[in-house]
Amino acid sequence: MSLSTAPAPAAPARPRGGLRGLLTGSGAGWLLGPPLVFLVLLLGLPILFLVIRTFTNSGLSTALDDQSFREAIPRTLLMAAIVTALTLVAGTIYALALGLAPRWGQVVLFGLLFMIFWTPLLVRTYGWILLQLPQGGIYWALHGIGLLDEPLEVYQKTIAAYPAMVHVMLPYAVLPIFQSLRQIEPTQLRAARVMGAKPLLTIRRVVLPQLRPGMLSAAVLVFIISLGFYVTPSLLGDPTSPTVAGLIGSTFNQPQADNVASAMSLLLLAVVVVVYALADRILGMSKQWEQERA
Amino acid sequence: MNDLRSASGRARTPILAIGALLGLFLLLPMLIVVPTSWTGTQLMEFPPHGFSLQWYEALTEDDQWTTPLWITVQTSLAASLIALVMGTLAGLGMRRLTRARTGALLRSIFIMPLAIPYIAYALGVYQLFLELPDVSDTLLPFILAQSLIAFPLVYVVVAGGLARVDPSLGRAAATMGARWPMIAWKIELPLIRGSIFAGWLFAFTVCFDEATLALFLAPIDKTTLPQELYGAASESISPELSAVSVVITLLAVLVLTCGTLLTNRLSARGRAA
Repeated sequence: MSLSTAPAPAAPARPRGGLRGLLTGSGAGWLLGPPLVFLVLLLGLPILFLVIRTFTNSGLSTALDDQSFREAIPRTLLMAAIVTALTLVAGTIYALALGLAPRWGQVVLFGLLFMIFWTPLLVRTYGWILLQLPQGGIYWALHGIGLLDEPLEVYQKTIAAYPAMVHVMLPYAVLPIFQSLRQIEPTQLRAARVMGAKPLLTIRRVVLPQLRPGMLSAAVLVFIISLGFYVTPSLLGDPTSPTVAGLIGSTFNQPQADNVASAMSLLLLAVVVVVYALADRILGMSKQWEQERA
Repeated sequence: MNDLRSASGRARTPILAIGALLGLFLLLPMLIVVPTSWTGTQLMEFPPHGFSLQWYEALTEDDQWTTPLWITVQTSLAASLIALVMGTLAGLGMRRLTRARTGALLRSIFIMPLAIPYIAYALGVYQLFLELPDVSDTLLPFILAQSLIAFPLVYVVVAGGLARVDPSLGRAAATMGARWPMIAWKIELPLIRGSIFAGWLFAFTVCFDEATLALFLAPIDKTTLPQELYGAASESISPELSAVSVVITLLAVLVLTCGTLLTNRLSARGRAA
């Protein structure tokens, strides 16, 4: 009855199926197959294991009842928000300065940005430790000019991680914002000037609105990275009031607590994925990131 | 940019001043690491006393740093090569997709590892490999985890390079009877040599610098360089650590500068071909 049992002898070879199908057609399926398997095995399976562990031996409720975890959530959100805001302001000004500087200034500012981007993260964090030690670099500099008498009490306080994190994130903000800056139509600036707009008005009403795509993309990226940032906050921040990532790290190392650590990880992951998915949905984030790195 | 300059008028000076201060802020950690590596005394002091290269000499006699450096080079190489193959395949495949909706969905999935918190991911990988006791004590889980993190970096750079390749070249070859492997191998890949190299270099750098996955996934007897630096920075701050930091930074900046120059040359040749 079914037609498929009797292949039509006169029909030409079907474009798909079998070895011949491997070569004909667009090849999209064959090319995308390996990366998709790779992602399922190395992204899907680990997340599945987190989900399974979260629900064994009431990991989720233990994590949610954990006082230190409950305190870590607002602390982490606050840290990520403050770091994002500071990075965004600093990154916008840096990008504007890149656009406004004379040729040699541009070279210097770009050189600094890339040198810092290329300096290993742990070297930079170590530099911040040296700066923030009670009698370290900042104390020495401020004491030298007579501004500070007491040893500095910053190292391993919650606030100590902020400048170091802004330092790490700054290139991620400057590059997309500068990208937006370069796309501003020069005639608009000329028009604003001809119409008599004052510089501040031009910046506020013509330049800044056009930087918005770059700024939004930078903000989402910096916020997401800050939420899960482990190394810098755990070296510089207050060990008695860890971030969510820091708490996951210390729970990870406790015996019999991997279900609790999994639950915390899954919640952190869920927040990040929701932010990412919303940003992707509303702002087309993944397309933008794809184009920026190009 | 000239119009931007004249449009900004008097606002230009304060912006440039704050920009210069931010540049100084970027330089700040290195401004302290470098002088402390020259310390002439045994202990870390501010300001550092004396000048000597004794801590650099100490490094050459000490395999505390050379062994982790070697392990890190090997793992980063392995992970970045896996990411390179997968990322390039993904880029070539996405170009051949005709359905826009599928493309958008796949792109979101491909870029997702950029957003994933490393610490949560490390825990998931750790538990996955607990089920495979034969390999859980090797470097394999760590290398595979790093390759996943590096995958989107290669993908975005390769996809960017492919976007500049004229699709009509492929169509012309297809009408002449070339099938897709031939088009990929003879037309697309040679034209994006620069992007492939840049993507690999980007992936290698990120793997080389990555500490969180190493801290939770690398076996105890095989510490990577970032792990060793993390341990040293949290336990014993010393002029020797400053010297290591300076050497590694110089190495990284040197390699990346050469790599960037090479990328530019390869891209220029790719366009000429």
